[in-house]
Amino acid sequence: MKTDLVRRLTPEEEELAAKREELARLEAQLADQELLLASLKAELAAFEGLYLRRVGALYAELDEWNARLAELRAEQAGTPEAKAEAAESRTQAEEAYSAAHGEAAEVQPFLPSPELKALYREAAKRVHPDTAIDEKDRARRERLMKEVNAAYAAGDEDALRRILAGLDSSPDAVQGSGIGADLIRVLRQLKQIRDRIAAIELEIANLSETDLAKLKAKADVAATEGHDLLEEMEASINVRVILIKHKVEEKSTSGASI
Amino acid sequence: MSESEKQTALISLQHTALTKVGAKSLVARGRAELRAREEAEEWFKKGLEFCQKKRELDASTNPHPIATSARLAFALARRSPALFEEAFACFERGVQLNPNHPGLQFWLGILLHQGLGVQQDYVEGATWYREAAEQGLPAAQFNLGDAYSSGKGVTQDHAQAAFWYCKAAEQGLAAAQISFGYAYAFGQGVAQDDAQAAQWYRKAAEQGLPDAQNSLGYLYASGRGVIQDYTQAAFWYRKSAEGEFAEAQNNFGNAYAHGQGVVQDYTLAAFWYRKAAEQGSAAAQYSLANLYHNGQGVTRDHTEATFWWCKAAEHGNADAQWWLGIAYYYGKGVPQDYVMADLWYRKAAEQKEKYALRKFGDSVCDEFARLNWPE
Repeated sequence: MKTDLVRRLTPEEEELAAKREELARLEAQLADQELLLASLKAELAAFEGLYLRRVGALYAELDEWNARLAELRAEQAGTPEAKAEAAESRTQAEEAYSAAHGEAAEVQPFLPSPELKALYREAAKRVHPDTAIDEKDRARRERLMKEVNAAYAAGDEDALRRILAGLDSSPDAVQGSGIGADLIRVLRQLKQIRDRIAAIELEIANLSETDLAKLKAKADVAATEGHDLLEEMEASINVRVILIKHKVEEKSTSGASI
Repeated sequence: MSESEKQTALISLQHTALTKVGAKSLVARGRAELRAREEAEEWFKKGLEFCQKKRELDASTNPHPIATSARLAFALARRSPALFEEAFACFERGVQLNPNHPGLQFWLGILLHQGLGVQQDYVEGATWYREAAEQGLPAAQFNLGDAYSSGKGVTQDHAQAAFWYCKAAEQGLAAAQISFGYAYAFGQGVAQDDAQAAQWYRKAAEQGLPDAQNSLGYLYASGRGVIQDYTQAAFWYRKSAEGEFAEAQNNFGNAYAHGQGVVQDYTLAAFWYRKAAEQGSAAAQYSLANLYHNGQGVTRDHTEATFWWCKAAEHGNADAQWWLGIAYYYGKGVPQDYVMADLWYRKAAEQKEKYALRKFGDSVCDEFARLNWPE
């Protein structure tokens, strides 16, 4: 008889099934949000790289000329104030130089393929730390999630595929014993994921308020209007570089004649 | 990990953290400057609006609006300086936010140099002109050239004037092209060279500048720097005359009177002389008087003739003064008055030797007057 084969679900089991469905939905949503955040971070890093190479490097050049001018003045005036000012200018020039030519300046344009995005989404769903069942699992997932994020930022599809392949062979998601324990675990996972989604939203909002994001937004608007914001910024600094170079040349020749 | 390895790792970590902060500050710096520049641009626009309002106000009260003459506009603008005070305040705020804005520098220069809305200060004005000029703003280069030419705010230096006129002229500023042309024509700051003068006049003339069109016409008429060509001369005189340039209207009148480059026609000569005469050209007033006197292109009219001689004589035209004297002597168009006749005769004689040879009552003089005064 059919009733012998298909057992009616207990209320606990029904509850668990519903929660698992919700969990699956939220996991998908979380993966989307993680993708959004990772993309935003990568785009910002790429823009920062571009900005530092084009505008930052010019600021460093400007500061270098400023420092030279201050040093020439200090040489000619010889006052403690002039010397202190020269030292300060020199420090700023050095800081600007290392900032403009540091690691951040090496980040290349971020142009993710649909395949890369799909791989990231899949990987994020499967390794996400907030779907962990215990602390040990969580630590492992956190490590994996870091790798996934790094691979995505680097645009490395193969690395994402390797991570996914590794998951298949690892003993995953050992089920707990008993329906009550399962339900508790699922509820805990749900809470963790909701918290994480809220945290991501907050992080995206915070990131969007940074100078970098505001500048990028401006550059994006300018680009749709057919002009290059960074070029305009470069031009404005270039003018100052030229003017200060002129002053340095004047100072050094006037110094030579004394 | 050895102690030194740890040290190296730590330094590298610190370095990365430092550059991170540095990169952030470079971004913040760029954004802050961008904001300041945008705000400066707002002040610039606001200031320009005040200047524009001022110009419109003056244009509505100006009986002879000549669009090309910015100087005239400013001369008129002095009447109500309040709008310029507003403009100056805007430009000053803007330049604090973006000290390298050429437009702001230029306008601060104008207001200071001309004393509009602020205590006039030639030196300060010229300094701002230079700032903007060095950044390549043609109008500022031109004004700096003018400052050097007049020695207002800088030591007078025609070579420097020509240098800055040249910079602006090469960028296509018509006013600078004509000034650079004048520099060549008069050999001021550059070696005198009519061919160069003609070249720069032409550039400005082709941009529609009436002064330049007239000057180019003059070079064609006199064959200086170009092959003499009355047709070309008349062509440029016409353009300039149609642009309400009085000197060209007189020259174009001459072209019709003498049939140079156009078919001789006294009626048209009278038409253009009158236009120039009404704008105060003494030469045209004298020529128009002569046409009335001779009945050429107009009905002979002693009153009209004497009226225009009088105008020209008051402007110091020696020939007109002589003829006005004769008109008083014979009572043509004015009541006979020997005292006035003598007065204008003397004025003419002070200027032109040929008039000094003749005296009223002399048979020479009487003969001269009789021959030239058809009854």
